[in-house]
Amino acid sequence: MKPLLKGILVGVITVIVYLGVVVATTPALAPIDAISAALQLNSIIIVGMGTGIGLQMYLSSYAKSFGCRLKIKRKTFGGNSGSTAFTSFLSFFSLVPLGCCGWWLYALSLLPSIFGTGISAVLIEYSQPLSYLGLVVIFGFAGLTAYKLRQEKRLLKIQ
Amino acid sequence: MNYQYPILGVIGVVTVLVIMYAATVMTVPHQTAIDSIENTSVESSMTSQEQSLSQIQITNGIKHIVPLDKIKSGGPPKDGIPSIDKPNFVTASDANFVSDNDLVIGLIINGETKAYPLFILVWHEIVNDIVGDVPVAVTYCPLCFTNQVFERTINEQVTEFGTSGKLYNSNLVMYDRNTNSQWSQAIGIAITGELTGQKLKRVPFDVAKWSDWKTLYPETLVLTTKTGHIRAYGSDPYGDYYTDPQIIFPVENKDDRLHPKEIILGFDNGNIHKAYKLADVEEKKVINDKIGDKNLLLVSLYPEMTRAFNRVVDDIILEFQYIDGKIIDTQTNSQWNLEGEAIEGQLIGKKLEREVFNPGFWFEWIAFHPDSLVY
Repeated sequence: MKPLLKGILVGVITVIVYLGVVVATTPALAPIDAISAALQLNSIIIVGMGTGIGLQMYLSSYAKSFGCRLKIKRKTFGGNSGSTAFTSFLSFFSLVPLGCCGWWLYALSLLPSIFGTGISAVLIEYSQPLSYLGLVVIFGFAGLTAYKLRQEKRLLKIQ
Repeated sequence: MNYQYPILGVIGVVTVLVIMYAATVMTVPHQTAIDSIENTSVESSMTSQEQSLSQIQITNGIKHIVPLDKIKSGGPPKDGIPSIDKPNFVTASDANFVSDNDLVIGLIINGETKAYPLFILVWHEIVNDIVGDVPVAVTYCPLCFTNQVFERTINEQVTEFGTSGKLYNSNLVMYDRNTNSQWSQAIGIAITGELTGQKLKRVPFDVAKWSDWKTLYPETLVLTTKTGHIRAYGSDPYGDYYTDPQIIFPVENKDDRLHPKEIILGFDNGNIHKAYKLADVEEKKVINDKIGDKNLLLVSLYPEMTRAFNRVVDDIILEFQYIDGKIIDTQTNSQWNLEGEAIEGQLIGKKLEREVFNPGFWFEWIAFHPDSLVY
């Protein structure tokens, strides 16, 4: 598969998976209303994650097509997947107002048992800026990959 | 593909969530066959809206007064959001965990005074308590900003209320633990189950800033965060929802006479419903009005805090004014306090009867009362 197509496909899958989670966790609303609400609330995060992950996929496939073996690839993938999970998890917090007694209020109630009340309070209070920070990390990794790819391409040319 | 593991992980999580969703949807009985309809007169004082709700239907063996498919699952199971059943209290002087600007629900029954901070209630929605020897349920639906206090004695039996995990008109649906009947918090009526059609007795209460409440009632007790549950009290999971102008979920009856999240005080008298903007009452301090045959006095001497009284004393309809920081009736020039008691003048010792009302967001009031008037 061509790198660009692969990147677009993975980006679209990321968005679909995100919206699938929204629909599944918002049973009080019809799927179309849940998706519409999620897009109203988190459009930047949703589009950003799809683009960031898609870009990363594209760069990775592009590197492979050149025969490059990026040393940072594994770390980047791990970091990027972690950031995606972190970003999407925190961005889901803004879905609490979609229904009293909803899944995300329930999830937030369980947070202090896992992370303690202090960390939970920070995660809840600053969920929006933290999810944007996660987005920055996703694009940061993509940028890092692009930089490394460029360096290795230069190296290949010299050799 | 190097992405296969994370993606497979996410797909796994989604599959689990879809199964959870399917399970919750399946627990909401669909209105497939109406077995019978009973025209039951439940309570003579019911409003027209409530009278239309008093037509009890039986579908698949379940009694109900609202279409079953209008009762939506929020997701979590019954008591997923746990009510506080063994509340702990401290005195105002020991309540360092409450800030002056925090809103509390204030309750005075038979001389006992208690306060319930909303930052605790937002995580529990219901407190089952006994105040002045009266079993009460203090309830709060954050989505609609509806606060309600109900007596918990139904058909001479004391019950407890819990969260059902369901919503009706985007409002909290409670259940009682004696019969499992489900109750709409906004209207205080059982909407499904054995007690369908029964109405809970509402108790007058206040919503006030903690600084004002403790100044007015220094002897007050206040609910503590020792609720038996670990929660991030102090962090509001609804973020800026209360001030954000948009409504992100569909509501059945929209009405743009007021901003959807305008805080209103809703009153009903028979067939008539009327909403007052909290901001208007705060500005005017005292409002004399009439809803049908009910003569109302609304008083707001502190921000967020409004009380309503029946302004008829000894068959005389009194008119009130706020002059020089005093509430005075124009007929006798008697001075009245916030408790509705005449403290000076000809009517000294007389007391106005408190009226209950429904504070909450406009969009919620109009969803339940589409024919409502606005002051």
